Amino acid sequence: MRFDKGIAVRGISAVAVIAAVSFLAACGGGGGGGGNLLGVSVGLSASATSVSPGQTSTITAFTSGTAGVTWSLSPAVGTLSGQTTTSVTYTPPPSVLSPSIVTITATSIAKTSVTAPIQIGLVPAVTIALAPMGPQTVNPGQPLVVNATVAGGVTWTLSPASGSGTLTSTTTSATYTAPNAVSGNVPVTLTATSISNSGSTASVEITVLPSGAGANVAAVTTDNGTSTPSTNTLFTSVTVCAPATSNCQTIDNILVDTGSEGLRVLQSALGSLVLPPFMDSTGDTLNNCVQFLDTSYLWGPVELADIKIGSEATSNTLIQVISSGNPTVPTACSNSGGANQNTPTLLGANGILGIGLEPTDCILAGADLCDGSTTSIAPAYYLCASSGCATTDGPTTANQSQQVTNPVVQFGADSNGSAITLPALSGTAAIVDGKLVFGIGTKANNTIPLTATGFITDGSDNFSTTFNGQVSSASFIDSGSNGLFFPSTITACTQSVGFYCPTAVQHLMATNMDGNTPVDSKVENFDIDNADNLLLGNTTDSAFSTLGGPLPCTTTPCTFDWGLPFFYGKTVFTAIDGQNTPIFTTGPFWAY
Amino acid sequence: MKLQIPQETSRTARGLRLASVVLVTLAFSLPAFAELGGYADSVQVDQAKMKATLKVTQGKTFAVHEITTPTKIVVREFVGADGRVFGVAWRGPFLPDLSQLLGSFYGQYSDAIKTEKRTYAGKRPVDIRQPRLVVQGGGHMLGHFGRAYVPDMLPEGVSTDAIR
Repeated sequence: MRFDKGIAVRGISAVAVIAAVSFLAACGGGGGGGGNLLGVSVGLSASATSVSPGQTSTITAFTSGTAGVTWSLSPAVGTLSGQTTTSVTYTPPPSVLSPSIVTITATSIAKTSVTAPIQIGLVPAVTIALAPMGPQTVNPGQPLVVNATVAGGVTWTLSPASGSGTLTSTTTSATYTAPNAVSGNVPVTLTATSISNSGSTASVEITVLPSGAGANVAAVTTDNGTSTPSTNTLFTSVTVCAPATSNCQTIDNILVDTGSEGLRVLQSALGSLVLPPFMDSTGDTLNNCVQFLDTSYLWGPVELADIKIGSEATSNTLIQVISSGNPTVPTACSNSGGANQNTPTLLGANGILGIGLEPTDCILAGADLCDGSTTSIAPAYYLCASSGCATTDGPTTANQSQQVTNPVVQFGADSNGSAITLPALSGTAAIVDGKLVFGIGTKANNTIPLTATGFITDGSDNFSTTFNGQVSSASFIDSGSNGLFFPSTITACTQSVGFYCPTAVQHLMATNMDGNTPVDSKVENFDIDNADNLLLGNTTDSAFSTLGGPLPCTTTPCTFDWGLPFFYGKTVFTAIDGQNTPIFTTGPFWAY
Repeated sequence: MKLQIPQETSRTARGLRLASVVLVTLAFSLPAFAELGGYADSVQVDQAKMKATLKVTQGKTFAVHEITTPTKIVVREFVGADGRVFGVAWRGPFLPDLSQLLGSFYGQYSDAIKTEKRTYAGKRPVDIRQPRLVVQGGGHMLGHFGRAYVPDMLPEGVSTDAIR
């Protein structure tokens, strides 16, 4: 996001001319009589007659003589700077709590009794909150909804004004639609300007990707546009709408995660958008719990939404809305400890787009773990009164049609999986941009190349990795892991806890194989660098190809977690369980 | 319900081969997990009338109690000659109740995890290594695994590699 609270006012937007003229009857000196009428006058103009913090106003004096003026300010609120005998710059204080007025007075140097005042209004700054905030990328023809929150509303402008797409807007929302065709990346700036205070603006930087990216393509990036760079976290934007309406919210900073299933968004990221809760015939609502080993969990209601990613769309998809605030969470969910990851800071994102190997968050290699058929009641779904859950509420069964759903399986012709393509990276980069393509073998842009190898996963959605003589048969590929995590004797960091800190870059090699019956294999070369050197004090980079960490063999079999560094320089296909793909086979499998 | 530990696998048995296996299936009992650092005997109360299986493997220096919960979580508890649980490991589609499993060490674990800078969305593995507690693990949705052990409770000569 770029807030433009402090833009300089260009040109003279307001002119106030006040003239003070004094006609003096000069006293005759000695000598000849006759009055000598000398007129001294001072006129003023201001570049802005009202300013907000961050803005300035330049006042210019026009005098009848050559001596010019001196300047004074009353009351002493704000500062005068750059004073000359003909102009001065007024800067208001950093904070203006309520509207007020200051008077700047020019005093003729030739005749100090000749003064001219000009009044400058001080207007409190307003902050325009835009959603989405960060840089956005869109495909040709793709719409992007941006909402603005500020008292009095905003007007919208597009820059450049022509050839950059179209805009329809209200005082609170704008729908930008990219041109149908572009050649090369086209940067566009969408700016919201406060109606009540034209000095307050906020902008969203939009990049229109070139034609040929395809309608089934979403842009992904490692940079979420915030001041603190993230670490190997792949983000995209998702538009969420109340079903069958145009009430939508485009949410950026959504983690692209091939290691989970279903869309989960922060309630706070939905802004004013209200989605219908998924409820039974008695009005009880279904809630979802996802637990993590790090004692955190995601808790919130299952709600219905239409989802748009790139030009793909779903209707009535079940998503999890991660509850804001402090909802009562059943102990069976919170017993992993910690807290609901329900803020952007806690979650590190505005949501998670789970596009893994399964159609929902409770199906594992064809077995439904939540409908009561293969296990007792899993600690994932809770049916509670619409007023909320109690800590004593126990989990309930939920069948596949009631589970949070991998949106990809509802993408019509492109429902069988997805592929992530990232450019090669050697070391670090401030930002890596890539693409997320939906469908496998369904369009010209998502065919599995002949050079790729497919790896069929086992009943736990894992495959096998052999590293350093050790077979880790519970290994997996996960764009949601921010490093390569595997068992090794490489020194663990003491500062960057959870990562490896070798004294020199380690050049390593591993071999991946199918999950159950090894048929195909592929050698993977990778480097592991010192994470303390990579991360500590690094405020510029968001992409790291050599980041790894320990994942000891805590159970048999062992695990090699191929996180985001694995994706650099590859196209990695994730084929969904039970979905057919042309040429190759039925998911679940990975191919790269 | 008491765990049915056959006589030959009792703590006092001698000369048993490592990894001799005795399988006990408790058709109608779900032992709560023994907590880390606690006595294995503490699990002998059946509170939930659900099916669970228990497999006990008695080794020279420690026993492994493997419990499979109704939600298909496999928990392995490593019990020393003193009858106390010095390590636990788990694998399954969901996490076990960590507050119960880690018992008195749960607070220490919870504190340790909070000191990590974790503004990261996702499931980065956990690797807590403290003098009195090690907790490690990771996984993906519907595929969790991990272990916890108390280093100074490890029986002499037992490698941490055995805790898995």
